[in-house]
Amino acid sequence: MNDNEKYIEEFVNDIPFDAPNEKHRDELKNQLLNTFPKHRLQPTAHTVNVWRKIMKSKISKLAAAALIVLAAFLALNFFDKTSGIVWAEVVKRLEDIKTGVYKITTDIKGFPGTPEGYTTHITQDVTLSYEQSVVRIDSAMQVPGGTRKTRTHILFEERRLVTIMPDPKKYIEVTISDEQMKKMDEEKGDPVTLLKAMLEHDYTELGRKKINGVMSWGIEVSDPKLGAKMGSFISGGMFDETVVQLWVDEKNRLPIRIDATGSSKDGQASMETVYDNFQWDIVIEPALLKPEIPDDYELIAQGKWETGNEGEEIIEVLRLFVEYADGKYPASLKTMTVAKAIAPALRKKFPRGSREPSKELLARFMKVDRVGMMYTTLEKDGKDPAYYGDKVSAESPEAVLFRWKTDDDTYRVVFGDLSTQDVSAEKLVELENLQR
Amino acid sequence: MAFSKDENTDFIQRACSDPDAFAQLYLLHYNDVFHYCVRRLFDRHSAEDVTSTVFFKVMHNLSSFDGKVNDFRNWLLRIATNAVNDHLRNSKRRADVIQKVVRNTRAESDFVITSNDKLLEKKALLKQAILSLKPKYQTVITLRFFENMKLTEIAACLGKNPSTVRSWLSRATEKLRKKLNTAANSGGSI
Repeated sequence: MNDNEKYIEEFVNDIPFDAPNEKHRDELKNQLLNTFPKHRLQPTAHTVNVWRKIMKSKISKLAAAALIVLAAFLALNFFDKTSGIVWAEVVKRLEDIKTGVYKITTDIKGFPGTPEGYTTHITQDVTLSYEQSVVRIDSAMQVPGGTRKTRTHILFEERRLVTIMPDPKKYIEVTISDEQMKKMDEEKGDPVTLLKAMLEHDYTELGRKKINGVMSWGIEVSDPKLGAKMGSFISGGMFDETVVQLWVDEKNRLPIRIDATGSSKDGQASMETVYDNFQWDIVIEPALLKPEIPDDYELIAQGKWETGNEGEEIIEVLRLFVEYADGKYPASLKTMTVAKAIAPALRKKFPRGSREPSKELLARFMKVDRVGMMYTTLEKDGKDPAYYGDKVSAESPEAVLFRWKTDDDTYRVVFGDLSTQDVSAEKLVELENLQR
Repeated sequence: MAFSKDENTDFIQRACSDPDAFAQLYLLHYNDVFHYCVRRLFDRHSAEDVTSTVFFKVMHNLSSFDGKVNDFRNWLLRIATNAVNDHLRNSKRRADVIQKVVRNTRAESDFVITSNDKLLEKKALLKQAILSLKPKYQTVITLRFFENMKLTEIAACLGKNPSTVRSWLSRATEKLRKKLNTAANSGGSI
């Protein structure tokens, strides 16, 4: 690129332009269809009528749920303040959402297994079909030495998650219990669900701003519990602090950009994420939504996700620290903190070129990804969890490391050596007072 | 957008005779065409008019898309380029567009928050400078800097030799830079 080109590229950067107008788009569509050349019309037996299929879809209830929430949101924040909104049009628009694609770009500092100060850059192309109840995520993660690409399909109807890694020709499969699937279906991490989650928290209105030339309205939530409601990086108790801003296109009433930041309390890990390039209701080729696993790919791990067993599963994660990290537990049960704490030990145990861990062991490692989510689920379900990994190690067999409520007056207590005991609330107070 | 080449061709063939398929094709590409037009014309209403012209042309000429074009979007952009250039061909109309641009930009800046004033000023300069170029130079500037197309892609889109496009781009960027500098130094007039 020569100097003139560079000059112009810099000059045009960020210059705003008018966004397409839906009204014109729809009017033109009607004009075109009214004048469609009749001599060319043929029977349409082979036409895939996407919209008809959409209308019959069982999953339309999800869009209906989104409709209620988003409609309430718009009513609260926009309707009273902008006279131009025709409410019926907003409702109609939201009813029609059936598919979406968008890009997530994330920079994480302190990603487990990376050198100090290294920023891991991750891009994710997300394809979402409410109609077929499938989410596909194509990820590219830049790590020292190269880019790792994976493709994940979450198949809600089949209760299955598949992650395919083309380069090493391997894949991971997870079956998901009905109850867990129901939860994921409600909280699948798409922008509509994110908006729903944000509205359940105290949010701040950010007002109007032009984004890529499009006038938008924003809200912000900085409640760390937001993570418990979400998929992806801002989810699952990944970080101690989370701030999410969501911007909605003023004209089409759909998300246009999401900015999220997260950080761990100890400052060891932080993240900046942007969701953008949203396209709604586009035609998605059905084959894209099916996980095609070539015959020569090897299944390296199988897992099962279920709910109601979070406390026990957390103990299994903590057991990894007894086996591989000399009994030194992570300071908190946020996913990033746990992953950062176990990564060096596992690298030492399984150096490059050594025998791969067994399928069973990999299935146990996979639980680390969900540990933050499991802990926040205990919180959300009112099970009063507490964790003291910052003070307790395996060398303190009588100290309370972790506990949660199993029924109204009983707590399961996990001690430093991971032995467990069910105790009354009164006894728990006694035990916890001993270590203060 | 998620079609393989063959499926894309098949889908487009169906759109020739099936209004539903045509409507889907239209919805998939409406934004691309509008974005291109509004970046060429700098005016929403003109861009919508030309977008309408483009899709009527597409509807009537879709059967001439023979499936050998790798990128349907290129075919669309070529039609859009011709339509925009037709729109601007009349020099009076071009002068009108420039006048309208200046008026609209001033009107816009009355309503937009202060932090955007600088960008709007830059936009006004850019509009005047680009619209005073020959249409072929406007085309390569838009395709290169707003559609982020490579030289070979622009050449494929316009059906020209890459060397011709390189030469156009070189002249276009040189002229545009001069005009932008002149405008900046003289308080906005080209």
